[in-house]
Amino acid sequence: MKKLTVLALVAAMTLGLTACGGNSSSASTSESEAAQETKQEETEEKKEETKETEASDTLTIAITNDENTLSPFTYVSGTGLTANRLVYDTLFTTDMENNVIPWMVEDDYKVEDSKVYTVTLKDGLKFHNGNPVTAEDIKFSFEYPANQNVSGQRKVCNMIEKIEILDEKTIQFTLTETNVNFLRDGFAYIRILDDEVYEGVEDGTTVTETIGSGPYRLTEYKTGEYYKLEAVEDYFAGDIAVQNINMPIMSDSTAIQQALLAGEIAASTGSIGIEMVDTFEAVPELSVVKNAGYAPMIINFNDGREPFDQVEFRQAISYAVDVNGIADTLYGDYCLVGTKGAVRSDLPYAVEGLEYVYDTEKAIDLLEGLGYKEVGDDGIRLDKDGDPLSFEIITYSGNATRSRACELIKEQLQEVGIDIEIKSMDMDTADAYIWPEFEVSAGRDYDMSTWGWSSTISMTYLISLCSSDFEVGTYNVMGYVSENFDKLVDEKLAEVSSIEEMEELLKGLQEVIGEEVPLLTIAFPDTLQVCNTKVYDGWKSGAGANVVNIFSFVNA
Amino acid sequence: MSKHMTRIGAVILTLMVLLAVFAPVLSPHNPYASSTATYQLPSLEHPLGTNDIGQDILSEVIYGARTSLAIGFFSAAISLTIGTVLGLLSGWYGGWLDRLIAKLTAFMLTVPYLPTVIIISAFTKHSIYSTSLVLGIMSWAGTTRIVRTQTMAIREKDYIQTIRAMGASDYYIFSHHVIRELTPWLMYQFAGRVKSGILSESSLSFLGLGSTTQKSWGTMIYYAQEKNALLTGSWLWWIVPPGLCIILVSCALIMISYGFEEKTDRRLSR
Amino acid sequence: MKKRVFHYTIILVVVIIINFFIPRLLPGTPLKSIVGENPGDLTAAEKMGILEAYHLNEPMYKQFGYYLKELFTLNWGNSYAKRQPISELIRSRLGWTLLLAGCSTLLSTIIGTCLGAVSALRRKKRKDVPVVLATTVVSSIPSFWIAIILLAVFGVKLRWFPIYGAYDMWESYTGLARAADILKHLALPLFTLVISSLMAFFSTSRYSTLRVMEEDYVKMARLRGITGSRVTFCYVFRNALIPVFTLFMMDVGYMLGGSVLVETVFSYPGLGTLMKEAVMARDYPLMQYTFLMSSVVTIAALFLSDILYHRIDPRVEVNGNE
Repeated sequence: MKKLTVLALVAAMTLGLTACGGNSSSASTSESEAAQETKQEETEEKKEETKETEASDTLTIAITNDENTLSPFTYVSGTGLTANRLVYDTLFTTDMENNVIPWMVEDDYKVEDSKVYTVTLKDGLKFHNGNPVTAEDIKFSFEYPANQNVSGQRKVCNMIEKIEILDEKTIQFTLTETNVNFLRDGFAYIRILDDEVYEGVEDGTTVTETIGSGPYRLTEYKTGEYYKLEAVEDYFAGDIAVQNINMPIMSDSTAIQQALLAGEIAASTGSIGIEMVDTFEAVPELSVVKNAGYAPMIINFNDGREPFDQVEFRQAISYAVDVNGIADTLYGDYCLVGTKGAVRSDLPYAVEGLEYVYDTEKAIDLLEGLGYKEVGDDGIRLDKDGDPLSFEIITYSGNATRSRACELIKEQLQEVGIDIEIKSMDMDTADAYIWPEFEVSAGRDYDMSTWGWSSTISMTYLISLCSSDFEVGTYNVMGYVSENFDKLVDEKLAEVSSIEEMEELLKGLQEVIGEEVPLLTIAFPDTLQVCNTKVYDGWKSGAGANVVNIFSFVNA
Repeated sequence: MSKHMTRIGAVILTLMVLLAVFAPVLSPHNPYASSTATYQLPSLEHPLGTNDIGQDILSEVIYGARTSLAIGFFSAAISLTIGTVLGLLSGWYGGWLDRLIAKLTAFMLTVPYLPTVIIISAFTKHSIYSTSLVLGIMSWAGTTRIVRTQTMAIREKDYIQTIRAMGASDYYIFSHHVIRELTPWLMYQFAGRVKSGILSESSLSFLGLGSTTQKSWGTMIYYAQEKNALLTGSWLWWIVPPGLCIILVSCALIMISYGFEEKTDRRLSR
Repeated sequence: MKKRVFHYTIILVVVIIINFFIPRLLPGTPLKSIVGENPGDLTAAEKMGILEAYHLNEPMYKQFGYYLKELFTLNWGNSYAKRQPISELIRSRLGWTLLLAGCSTLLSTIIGTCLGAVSALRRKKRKDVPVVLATTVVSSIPSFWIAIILLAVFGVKLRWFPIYGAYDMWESYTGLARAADILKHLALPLFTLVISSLMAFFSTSRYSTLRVMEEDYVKMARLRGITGSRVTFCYVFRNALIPVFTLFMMDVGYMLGGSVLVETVFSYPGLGTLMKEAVMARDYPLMQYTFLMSSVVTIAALFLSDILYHRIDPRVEVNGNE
């Protein structure tokens, strides 16, 4: 038996040879002090190394996904957009407070009726191949994506009626409809291309050179391995503080965090979990950057399926689910709790008083009012036909936080007599149930699901989320049909031509969904990122912005 | 100790099964009951602390025995039954049957793993048993090929030839001699399969394909990993206990096999 | 020989057909990987247009025709999600995968077999218990967890090995320095794979050694006065190797795609991660050809093992000697 004990110990040690990095809260003080000392030694060693790197001025920043050649037609996800933005410039850009500011154009741009936009290019703009950025390039950049397989950019092209070149630096855009958000949705989004590179190319993905006019030039890309970026000379907006950026492609979050602790990388395009904040803050050369996130974590209902088609039923669930508690458990202090209005409650156009209220008695009253009075032996309510109120919630199996949210919701709904079965599937399988063919008019097959949108909820976005006209409501995966919502949109949308009018409509819409609860907005989790301030201290970040952004490297 | 290998193994395994059966009685808390006390250190109230949504880890480990043992044993049983039957038939009878089965196994070996997992789970609507089914179906081919070569070797043995000449039926020879000869290997194989069944659950989750909703040792390790238990220091009470359970189960099975080896091995028992 | 070639040709044909259908049986659509971030931004008509351009709404038999044509003209086209020629994507990964898979299969076979054989030889006095249990314990740890521990201990804490990539991406070594660099990057992923695939080789080699030791011809050899160690090496090991060999050949194909977890943790640019990405993105063409690569390697290994099997079959040899 002794041998067994020894073996068990060996096993424990194998599992446990890991008191590495960070603060191991289990270690006794003396041990952790010793660990600290070695850590310091390591840091000093590291410092010598970094001195060298500072001379050559190279930063290593992990990119969490292989984003192909980083051109506007080849990147695949938000991570790619982040990296792509270093290489390609946009006419306008968002600053660290998430305001839209002119970037490639002069400050005296003109907007008439939110429909006709006139901009003048700044001097000294040039592409990485030496060509100057001309008005023709701008016109081309807003027309070319219309025939490419790039959803977001194509939508912008569709908003434009015509583009006229007034003189060699001035361009006038006329939109098909008024759009108060065009500076953000259009100008800050479309990347400027060199027409010489793409002219006559039918499929933009076949262009292998990555030539933009941004602060960095892509000098090398090895598929699945790395990107190498080099600062351009005489960038129009100011000096570039970091000469070279090396980006290894690392998809495993543990490996990235270990590399950050080891000082092998200076930052990452990805974020960290809340449980890691203390560990990273304990390391002197690393700092944790916390930024407000605009992408909500949502629970969708299939609003067309019985009994979710009844407003009272959805309201009952909104009372039975402790949204504040879930947000607190999952994200702690690092989130903004969602409201029934779906919009971040700290935005100027958010409607007050739409907070979720956790009130199981009210939920039970509503359920009983709907006729779900009888309760089965297992405590689950029965419907008219005597079947238990039992539903499935679909979630992505790759997303641990969302799966945990389901566990919490299951437990809470049990209290009011609703049974939930959690189904976790890979992303595309789940999408095939929730959003088949990515076409909401193709129907849907689910009861509830976890969901998220990677975008600020603006007026246009809210309408595309909730309009029952599926040509407009292209993101209405809930199949939400509301007379009140549609009526408001029909009556008011055409008249909107100023920010104030837009905000007023947006408030009206929030009131409607606040009452009818087509979905539950659980929280807007903050993005937490880590950067090494010893290697480089110019990191800048702000609302909704990744630390890997042009302002971190360009002294504008 | 080695004299009592089988006994020790059986005791450990029985204890694990009892743990699973009497989970509701044994666990101090409801493993699904969450609380706002997340990431608690071990205490009297929670001997192994709490996880990322405040569930009691000790209770999770106890309840986890249910799913993990079920998945391990089901997947191993499916895999070994198919593998052994096909391997026996193929190796013993040869001819067209052998060729057909050889094609089938070669084909199974080339079927890509990941998409098949997704397809099977989609068809079985991600039920608890779909994981066992997937793992069982995807892993029998190797067993078949080895059982086949071993059966061919056993068939050529002199004593088997003698029994055959004496007119023993194929069924009799299978059940009394061939299986007996194969048993030690099959038992090791079984132990290995049970272990990989339990482990696969966590690696499938790691790949974003698993069912993460049942309490099991595999999903516990997955969640602990997702929540960086290694870097925060909580691995000691979050990953090691379920890890040790997995190790105990596979060691118990191996110990039982070891003892069995002695019983079936003509040379060693002599 | 002819029969065998025929047999494997049939399997190859079935594999080619299946590799077309498996991707299309997966729930979901490749639309998102074709159009990028926000498929909801497109109108229904635009979506149809894109599906048409990629022949995705044509009947299956027509799509199958395109597939066969592409396959045999070796014009494999572009990946949907990676937007690069598939042949290039595979070529850039294949070398690294072969290196990692080859080394790990070889090493785990050698180590596993030796441990198994040694434990079998010590079986009679029950001195093998520690080896058996130690192997069991080590192989009961999930492979991604082994990887993470190795990374934390040898990569971060001791700094003996680098923690990402297959070589130092930011230096350009040549000659010996490059070889050393590649080996250094190979060490941790290799070690992880070896540990996690040890058990199968161990138990198989152990079992077959035990079986062979009781064979009459081995006893015969002993009676003939051939020394113990010679018997062990010339008869026992050689014959015990057959099932191990079968296992080894099956492992070759599996290893090509089976190291996803390890590749992910160590950011190693192998075929496994490429396959996984293709599956997750429902990237039909990339799936077809990466699966085909691994299937062809598996079939080739099986074919080879079939041929070699007859060469090393012990009974044929021994009977000839008697």
